[in-house]
Amino acid sequence: MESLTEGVWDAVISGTSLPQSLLALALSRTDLKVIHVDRNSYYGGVDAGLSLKEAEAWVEARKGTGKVFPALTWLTVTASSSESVEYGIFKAEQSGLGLARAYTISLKPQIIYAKSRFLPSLVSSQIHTQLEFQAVGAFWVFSDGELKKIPSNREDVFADDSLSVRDKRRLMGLLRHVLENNDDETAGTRQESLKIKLQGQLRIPENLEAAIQALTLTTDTTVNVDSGVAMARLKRHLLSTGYFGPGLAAVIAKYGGTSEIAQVACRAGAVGGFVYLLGHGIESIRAESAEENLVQVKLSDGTQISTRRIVGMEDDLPSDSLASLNTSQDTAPPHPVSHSISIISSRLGSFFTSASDTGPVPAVSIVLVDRGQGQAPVYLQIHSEDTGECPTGQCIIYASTVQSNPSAQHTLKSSVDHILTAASENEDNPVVLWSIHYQSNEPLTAPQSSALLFHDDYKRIFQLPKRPHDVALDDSVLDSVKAMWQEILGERSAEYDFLRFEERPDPNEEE
Amino acid sequence: MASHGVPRSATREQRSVEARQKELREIEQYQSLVTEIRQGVEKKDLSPELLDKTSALLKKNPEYYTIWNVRRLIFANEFDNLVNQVQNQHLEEDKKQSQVLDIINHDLYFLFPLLLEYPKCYWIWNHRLWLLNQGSFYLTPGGARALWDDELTLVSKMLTRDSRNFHGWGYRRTVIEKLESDELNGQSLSRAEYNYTTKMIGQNLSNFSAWHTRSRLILKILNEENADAVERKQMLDEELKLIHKALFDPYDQSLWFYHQNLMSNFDPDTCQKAMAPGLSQAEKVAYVQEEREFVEDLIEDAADSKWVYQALMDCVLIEGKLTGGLSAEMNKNVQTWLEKLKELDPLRSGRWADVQHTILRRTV
Repeated sequence: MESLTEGVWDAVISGTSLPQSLLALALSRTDLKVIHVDRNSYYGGVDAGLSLKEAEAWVEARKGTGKVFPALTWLTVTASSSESVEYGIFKAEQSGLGLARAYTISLKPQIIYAKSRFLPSLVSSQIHTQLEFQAVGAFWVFSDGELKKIPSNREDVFADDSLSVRDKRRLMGLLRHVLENNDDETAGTRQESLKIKLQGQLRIPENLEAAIQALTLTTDTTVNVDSGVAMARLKRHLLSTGYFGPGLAAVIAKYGGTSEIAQVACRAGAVGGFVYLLGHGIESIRAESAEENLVQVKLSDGTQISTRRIVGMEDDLPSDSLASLNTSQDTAPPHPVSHSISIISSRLGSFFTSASDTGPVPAVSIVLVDRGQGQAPVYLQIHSEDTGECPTGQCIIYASTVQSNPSAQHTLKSSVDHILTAASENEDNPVVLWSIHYQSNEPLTAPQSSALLFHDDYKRIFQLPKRPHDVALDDSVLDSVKAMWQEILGERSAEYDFLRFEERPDPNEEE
Repeated sequence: MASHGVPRSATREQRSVEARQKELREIEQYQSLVTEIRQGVEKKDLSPELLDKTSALLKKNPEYYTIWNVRRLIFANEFDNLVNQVQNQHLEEDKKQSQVLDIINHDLYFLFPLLLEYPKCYWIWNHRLWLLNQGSFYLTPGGARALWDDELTLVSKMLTRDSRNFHGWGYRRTVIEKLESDELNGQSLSRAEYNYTTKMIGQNLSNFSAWHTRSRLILKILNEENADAVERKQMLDEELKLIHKALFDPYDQSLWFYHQNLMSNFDPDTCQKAMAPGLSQAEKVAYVQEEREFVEDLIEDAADSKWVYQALMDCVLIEGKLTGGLSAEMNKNVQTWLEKLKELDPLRSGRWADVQHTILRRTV
C-alpha cells in the first residue's frame, strides 16, 4: 500500500457522517486517490449508531463547557450566540437493560419517504442490497390527553368513527386539494402560514390541525410554518402512502437508520480503493503556494498529507482554517433543538400493528405531541425491537423539539411519559429504563441552493452543510453531495453518472 | 398486464436485426405448433403428446380459445375411457374417481401460473369452470365440494391482488352459487358474502364490483330469510346510513351508483324489483325528500361535483313522479341545477338540454 505521505491525493474527506459517506460512495468507481478519515473510533459521525456505553461516553464528552477535544471547539456561524449545551444521562433503578452491545442508539434517526429521490439513489448506486429496510407505520397525534391514529388515506377516514361528518368532508376536501393542486410551488415564498391556509381556504376545524401538521413533519408552530412548504410535505406523505404496500409511506434502514447507510457507503469507498482511517482527526490545514493548488493536511497523529482538496462538515475541519467562510453563500442559521433518547421496558405493541393482513408489520411509529397554541410540537419516533436497535420486549423512543430553554428537557420527558401511559396495554406498566438528553444546533430548513461552501480563495477547503433537523431525511443532501462530486471530478464528471453504477461482479464468481 | 389506474402502453422498442430474426423464428415455431395440433385433431389422435402441444401453445397465447376446446376434447375423451373401463369392470369406481381428480388437479395446477399472468383472460377462467363442473359430474359431492372450496380460496387471493377485477367477482359469484347448490349439499352463504363485500369496500371505497355484488346479495338475503316489510325497511335504512357515511367523498362515481340503486326503492317505476317494495306512498315521499336534503347539503363542500347535481336531479324527478308534478319553486331549482350540470359536464350538455326540454314539456 502506498504511503500516505507520498504523492498527491485527489481528496481528503474528513468525517464519516452521511454527506461525506455518500460522497465517498459517489466517487468509489473512479480512479481517484482518496483518504477518508474520522476522528472517532466508529463510523457515522453525527449519524452514528452507538452502543449504550458509546452513547454514554458520547454524552460525557460533551458535558460541561461543550469543549469536545483540545484541538477543536464547537464553532458557531453567528459569533454572537454562545453554545449552551445541556447533556444528561438517566438510568432507572430497576433492572431490565440488556447488554450494552445489544443496543444501537441512533444519533439521527430519520425516515425515508417512498416518494423521495434518496431511495432510488440507494438502488441505482447498488448499496440497497446491503441494507434491510423496515416499514414506517401509522402516524399518531397526542392532543388534549388523547392518543389518536391519524388517517392517511380515504379509507382510513371512512373507518374512523371518532371523526364527525363535517370533519370527514373537510379532510376529504384537503386530500383532493393537495393531490390536485400545486401549492408546493409557493414553498419558501412565505406567502402565508400553514395555520391560515388550513383555517381559511381549506376550512379545517381547529381540532384537526395538529393531526395534519403531523403528516407534514414540520417542526415549528403552525403560525410560523410556511404553507407552501407544508403542502409540499403533505403531498409527499399522501403520494408515498401505499406506494410500497398498504399503510406504508416511508422506510428506515435496519440497525440504526442513516448510520447503517453511512457505514455501507464507506464500505463501498473502501472496496473502491479509498484509504480509511478511524480515530484520526484533522489537526491543521496549510495552504501551499497558489500555483501548486495543493494543501498540506496534518492528521492528529502527525501524518502530513498533500492533497488537492479537503472536504468535511463544520466540526470535522480545524477552526482556524474556517476563519474566512464565504459569507455570501447561503447557510441556513442553526437553531437550538432539544433531543432525548429513551429505552422503554415494554415493546409498546399497539404502535406496531399492521395496516392490513397482507401489509408489512411496521417497525417505526411517529407521534406528534401537541402542546397547544404558540408552542412548537414534540416529535416522538418510536422504534420497535424489529429495528435491531434493542433487545426483544423493549423499544426506543427518540424525542425532539425545537426549543432551547431549560424546560425543554422536561417537555420531552413529560411527552414520553404521556405516551407510555396512553399506550400501555393490559397490566403492562412501561417505564424508561435508560435515557440520554442533549441539545444540538441545527438548521431548520434545507439550504436554498446547492452552491458549495468553501473557505479559501483557491477553493481547496470545502464544507458540506449541516442537514436540517427533520424526522424525514431531506433530499437536499443529495444536491450538496453532487455539487461536491462535480467539483472534485471537474470536467471528468461528464464521464460518470452520479450515484448510478452497474452491479459489481461477485469476486467469488470470477474464475 | 394492465391493472387499474396504470395506463397500458404498447412498447415499441427498436428492434435489432437479431431480435427480428428471433421473432420470425418464434412465429414459425408457433405456426407449426398450430398446424400439428390441427392435424392431430383431424386424425382424432387425442394423445398425451397432443395435450403437451396444446400446453406449449397456450402458454404463449392463452387467448387462442379453439386450443382450449382441443384440450377439453382430450380430457373428455380420457374421462369417457375411464367410464367405459368401469362399465366393463376393468376399473373400480373409486379408482376412476381418483384418476379423474388427478387429471383435474393437474390441469388446475397448469392453469394457475397462467391465471396469475393473465388475470383478465376469459378463456382461462372459463376452462377452470369447465374442469370444476366435470368434477361435480364425476366425483362424489364431498370430493367435488373440496374442489370448489379451494377455488373460493383462489378467487379470494386473486381479489386481494386486484380487488377491482370484475372477472374475479363474477367468478366468485359462480363459485358461491355452486357451493350453495343442492348437488354439493350446500347452504346459503349470502350473509358471509355480504360481510365480504363490507370488508372489500372498507379497503377501497371505489370498488364498483363490490358494491354491485352487495346489491345482488341484499335481494338474495331478504328473499332467503323471508324478510317482512319491517325487516326490509330496516335493511334499507342501514344501507342508506352506510352510503351516507361513504359519501363524505362526493366525487366518487361508484358511491353515487350505489346511492342511485338504493333510490330505486322510491321510484314507482322500479320499486317492485327493489329491496323494499312494500313502502307506502307517504314513506317514499318522505325518504326522497330526506335524500334531497342530504344531497343539497353536500353542495357546500363539493360545489363542483357533477354527481351531486345529477343525484339532486334524480331525487327531484322521482319526487315529481310520486306527487304528480313539481312545485314552481322546485322547477326553478331544477333549471338552476341543469344549468350547473351543463357547465360541469359539458360533454353531455346535449343530454341535459334534453332533460330540460322533457321537464318543461311535462309542466306545460
